[in-house]
Amino acid sequence: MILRKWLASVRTRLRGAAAERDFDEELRTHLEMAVEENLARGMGEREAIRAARRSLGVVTAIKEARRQADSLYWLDTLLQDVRYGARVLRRAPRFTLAVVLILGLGVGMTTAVFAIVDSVLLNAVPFADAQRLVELNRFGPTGGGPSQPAAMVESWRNEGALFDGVEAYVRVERVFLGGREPETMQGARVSPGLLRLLGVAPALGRAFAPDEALSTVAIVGHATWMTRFGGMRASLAGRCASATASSRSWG
Amino acid sequence: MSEMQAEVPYGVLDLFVLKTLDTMGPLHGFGLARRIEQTSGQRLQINQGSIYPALLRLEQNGWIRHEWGTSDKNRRAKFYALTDAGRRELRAQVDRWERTAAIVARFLEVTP
Repeated sequence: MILRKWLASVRTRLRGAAAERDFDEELRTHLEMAVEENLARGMGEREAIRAARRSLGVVTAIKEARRQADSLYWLDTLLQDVRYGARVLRRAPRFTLAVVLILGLGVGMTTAVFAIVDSVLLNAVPFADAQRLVELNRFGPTGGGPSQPAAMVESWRNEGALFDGVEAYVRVERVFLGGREPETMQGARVSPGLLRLLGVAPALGRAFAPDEALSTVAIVGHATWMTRFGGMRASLAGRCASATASSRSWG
Repeated sequence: MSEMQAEVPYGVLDLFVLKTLDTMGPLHGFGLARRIEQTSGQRLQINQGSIYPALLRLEQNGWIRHEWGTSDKNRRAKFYALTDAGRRELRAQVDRWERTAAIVARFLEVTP
């Protein structure tokens, strides 16, 4: 019902000037018929016209009432308000500039903050069962923090009731010597089971084997693979060997 | 203007238009207005022009539709006719008014 009302109203609006002319004609016809009837009743011509006008009512008021009866009347009012607002703003450019700046900064900052909240709190990490991942920290009189001795990791791992698995990583920075020039790379030393714990697997090649804890095997991230190794699958095995070899020289 | 003439309560004009079209068949605006005046026995004070906003509203509700035609004096005029939805709406409105009138009448019958 509402949809049909709207469609009808939109149709009227699209016809715009034509609809307006239609209505003018309708009112004219109305007056002519009224005058005719009055004449037939025996009124003089002048009196007949006056009486017809009187019984019809004020034409501008009728038109206004008809516009207000239109179900899209609010759109007209809205457009009028927008136009009025634009005029006022144009007349006070300094005020307008200040308002635009304040609003722009406000919106920008809100967006920035939301982007951070979104990535940090709402979609924390792209791992399987991310809500079950925790970071273990140690607090004590002698200090503490996220960094743990290997023995500590081992003892946590042995308390099987608490965690499904405990794995360790530490961020490292290494100089890659396998390219044309030495290059600093960000990476991490990880315990072999970390990838399995996070529920991710390398897109190519294999994950770390359990006995590779102290070996020099590396898995490269996608960005590095693309920029350093050209993203080529065919040559990957050989290049991987060179990456492994150079990782030895990382010391 | 005699003292007998009353303002039209809001919404009643819609009912009058629907009912008049139902009994008279298609009519143009002037014919509708005159017919409503006559039926009310000249006891309603109605600007004939106020029928046009009502007609637009009713048409946008899908209760009436218009068609250009020629009057008996061979004049081009817009004729309004009831739609099926309009007939249903009329029945509903008549029901509502009869109920309301019955309730009001019951209250007025009460004597101390």
